Amino acid sequence: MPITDHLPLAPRDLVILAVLGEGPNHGYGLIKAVEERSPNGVLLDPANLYRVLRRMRELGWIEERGEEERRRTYGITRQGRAILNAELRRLTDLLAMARPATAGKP
Amino acid sequence: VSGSRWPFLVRVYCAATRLLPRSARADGDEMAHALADLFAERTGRMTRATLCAWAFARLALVIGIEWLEELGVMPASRGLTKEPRSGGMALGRDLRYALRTLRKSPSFTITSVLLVALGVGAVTTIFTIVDHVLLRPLPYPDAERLVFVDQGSHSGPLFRDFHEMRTVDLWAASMDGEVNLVGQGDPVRLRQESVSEEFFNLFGARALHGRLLIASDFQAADVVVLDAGAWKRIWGADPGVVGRTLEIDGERVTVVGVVGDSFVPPDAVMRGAVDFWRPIQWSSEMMQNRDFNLFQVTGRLVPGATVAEAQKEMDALRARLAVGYADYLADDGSVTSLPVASLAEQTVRFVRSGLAVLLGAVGLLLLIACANVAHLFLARGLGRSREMAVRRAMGAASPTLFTQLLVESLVVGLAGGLLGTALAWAGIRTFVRLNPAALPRQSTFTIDLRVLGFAIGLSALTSLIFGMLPAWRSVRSQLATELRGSDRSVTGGRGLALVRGALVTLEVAMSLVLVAGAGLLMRSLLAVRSQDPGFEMADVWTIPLNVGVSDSPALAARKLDDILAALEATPGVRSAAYGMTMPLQYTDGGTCCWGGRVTGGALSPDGERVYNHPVTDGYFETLGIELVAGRKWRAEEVLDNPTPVVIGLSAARASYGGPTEALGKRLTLPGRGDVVVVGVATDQRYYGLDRDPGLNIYRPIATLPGPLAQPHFAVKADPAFAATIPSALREAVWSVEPRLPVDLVRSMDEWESKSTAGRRFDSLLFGVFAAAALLLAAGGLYGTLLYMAGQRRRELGIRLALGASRGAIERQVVSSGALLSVLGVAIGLAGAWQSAKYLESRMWGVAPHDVGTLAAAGALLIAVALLASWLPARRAGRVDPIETLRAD
Repeated sequence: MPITDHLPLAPRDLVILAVLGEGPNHGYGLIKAVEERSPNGVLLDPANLYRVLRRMRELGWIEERGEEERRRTYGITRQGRAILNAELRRLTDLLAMARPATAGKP
Repeated sequence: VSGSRWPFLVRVYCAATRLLPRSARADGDEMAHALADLFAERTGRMTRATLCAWAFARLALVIGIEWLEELGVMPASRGLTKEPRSGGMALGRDLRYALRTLRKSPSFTITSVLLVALGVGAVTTIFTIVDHVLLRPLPYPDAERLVFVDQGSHSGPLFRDFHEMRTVDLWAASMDGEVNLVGQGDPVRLRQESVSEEFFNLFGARALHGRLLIASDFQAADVVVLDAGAWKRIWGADPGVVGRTLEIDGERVTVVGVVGDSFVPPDAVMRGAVDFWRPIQWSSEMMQNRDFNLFQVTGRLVPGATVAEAQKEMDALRARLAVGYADYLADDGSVTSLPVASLAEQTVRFVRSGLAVLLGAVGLLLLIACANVAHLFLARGLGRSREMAVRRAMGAASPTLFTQLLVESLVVGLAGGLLGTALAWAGIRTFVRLNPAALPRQSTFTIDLRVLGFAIGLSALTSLIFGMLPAWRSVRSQLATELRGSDRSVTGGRGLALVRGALVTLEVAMSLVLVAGAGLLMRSLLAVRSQDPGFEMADVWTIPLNVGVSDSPALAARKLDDILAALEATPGVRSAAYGMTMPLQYTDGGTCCWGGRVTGGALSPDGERVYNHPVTDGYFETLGIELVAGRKWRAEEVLDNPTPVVIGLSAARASYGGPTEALGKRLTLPGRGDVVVVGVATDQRYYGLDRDPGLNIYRPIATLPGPLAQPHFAVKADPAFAATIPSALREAVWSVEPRLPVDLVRSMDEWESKSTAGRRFDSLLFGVFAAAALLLAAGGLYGTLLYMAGQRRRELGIRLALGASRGAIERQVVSSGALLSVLGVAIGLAGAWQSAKYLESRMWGVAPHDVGTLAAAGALLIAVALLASWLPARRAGRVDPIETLRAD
């Protein structure tokens, strides 16, 4: 499946992928990272988080990276990074297109 | 996994993740781990509770979605974004949407949640019991290898012979008993179990304090291990009791330990709770005698051996032993077999069919509740078909709408499941309290994760199946038709009406099966209760005592006479007596007293057993038993030879043709001497109101070879003294023997109530099920007719405008309801006819295909159905033609 078929990513999936892009992390770490980054402290619930992680793993975007304090950690794969970059590029382009319209507004 | 350190809720969460499909289950521990971390970081009760509620709700939804994909019901999303809604990536949105729409129609939501809760609650209650009683392995190590040697009890030497068997590697013997404990408050009577060396080993029991029995304990047998229950109850869980000396039945024994409270005594071997565990005193003469069959024997098969192999070896052993011991031979010279059964099978063999019947009944109830949920969803789906059509016209994908509808039914199902679990929790408690028929293993009845999983799975399944049909219909309907508005077509929704009609017919049929079952069981109960017991129950009180075996028979006999005199002298007592037993104390299948065949007379020509009841002179007067011929024995002739006896009317009729013909007849009772009939008494239903009185002989108590160790006293009291008599009777016993426990002073009415409790329970449970089913079926019919009438509003309006009378319209609606119910009743009668055979074993005095009961059940259902049809009919008749026509 070409990369563009997966785009656009749901915002939450994008953030998860972005956090993993910075380095391997485990479930709780992901929940905390997403909570810290989102403006109003979005809390991911474990069941949905692992559902997303399972999907991403099946798609080959992330992979298991062993254990840390008995928690399983995940890291981004080359393909996952490609998807992440493609989505970021798409969003940047989109913003660039929209910027003139929003410029000057509060 | 650091699971053991997790808080309870997180462990529940972890266990709940086991409900995920296999493909996702591996993540369960990780998910729980993340929750545990979140839990640790949050402080405060409320925040943690909110956190858990949130996590559990999400988990439930994810479980539902994963299963839908797993089963192929919902297409698994291949990517992450192609179909974000159906892929569950936007579950939160669907959930919020579902909650919003459900909140908008509270009466629909509440009704369907309650319906699911009712069905799930009832089924979960019965399932919990079935699961604990029938499905789970017994709580012992290698439980599947444990076997029980049936055919009553076995002697000490035979028990030792068993050890020759190669297919069994461990044997345990145990013997029931009751003992008196003095020196701990009021004297109390306690259950004691004497066990062999390997008993605790075989059942995997561990000591909570001190130790269990060791080989050297079996020499003097002067030690006792306390059961955890008795230890808490009597000694307030004081660990210091280990090492103390107790006085049990006048014997001084040392407490060496307390057995752990996780050890549940095996029900098949010993009924009910045990207070003391004692070593078997092998050195005593009785234990060495092959004639005394004392022990219940359990064994453990060697790994790989089967019950059949053990049976074969047992038969061979028995045949070998029979050579030297003729008692192992039956009358016809063959070797009597000792059946070897698996302990698990032995535990449940008497309750299996009963539980299956209950499960069937409750399953019917669940089906009816589900049918009603389907009604509700169908009606609601119809109301929303326009909404769905508009949304589809605006570009919403069908799978999206489908998922949303499914999420709605899942929310309803899970909420119903949670409520149902709460209902089941209460239901189990009620069940155990009401059910006196002593189900095995009931001490362990709890709602645990397995049952929780069952309840949640059941409700999810229920709501999915019954929510899917309407959802499918809403999504699949013809867009153009829906947008135009189905209201316009006069005959719209005919297919749907057919589905609903079929559902209602089935509901009526299933309710009829339950109502008929309840009717048959209630008639059995009434039939039993209307039996003449043959004696007076009012104001009769019984006092079973355990005076123990005394060294001096003369002294012991005098003591009993003193107690009798003290009871007679108690204010309010009209007469008193004692005997080996009293009526209605052996109502769960056992029999009492001396059995034996009679020779040398016409009594019992078929070799039927005759029961000897040794009683005191006051017995007949105290129990109000009438003599139909002859007289009682006189005090001065009790030691005469032949012994003067009174026989029961059945015995007199069966053997001599009538009461007067029996008088003066002599017979020989082997080992019990010659007797002469001086009187004939009315028959007493000694072993239960629903049992045949059998052949009975009442004889003077003085003819017993020794004093009674466990005499049963009875008094006839003045009703004015009813409130004070139990304590007065206790005091009377204690005035003679202050160290004797008197823990049971029970009125005969209570014995009667206890003996019919099983039947009362059956009728109550079926009655409740039937009432619920009736209500649900009526509700279903009402809803369906209302819906049909609503559908035909336009048609009815036009007809009214054209001059049809309201009466005609009403009659038409009622008759369509009547048609459905008559059809349902016809199917139901066939079902009831078929299913009555499953109830046959619980019925008494009523034919399984009792026409009266079936007809009454059918009439009841039709009456209820007519009532349920009449209300919508009235509404249909009140349609305002102007209003309907203007709506166009």
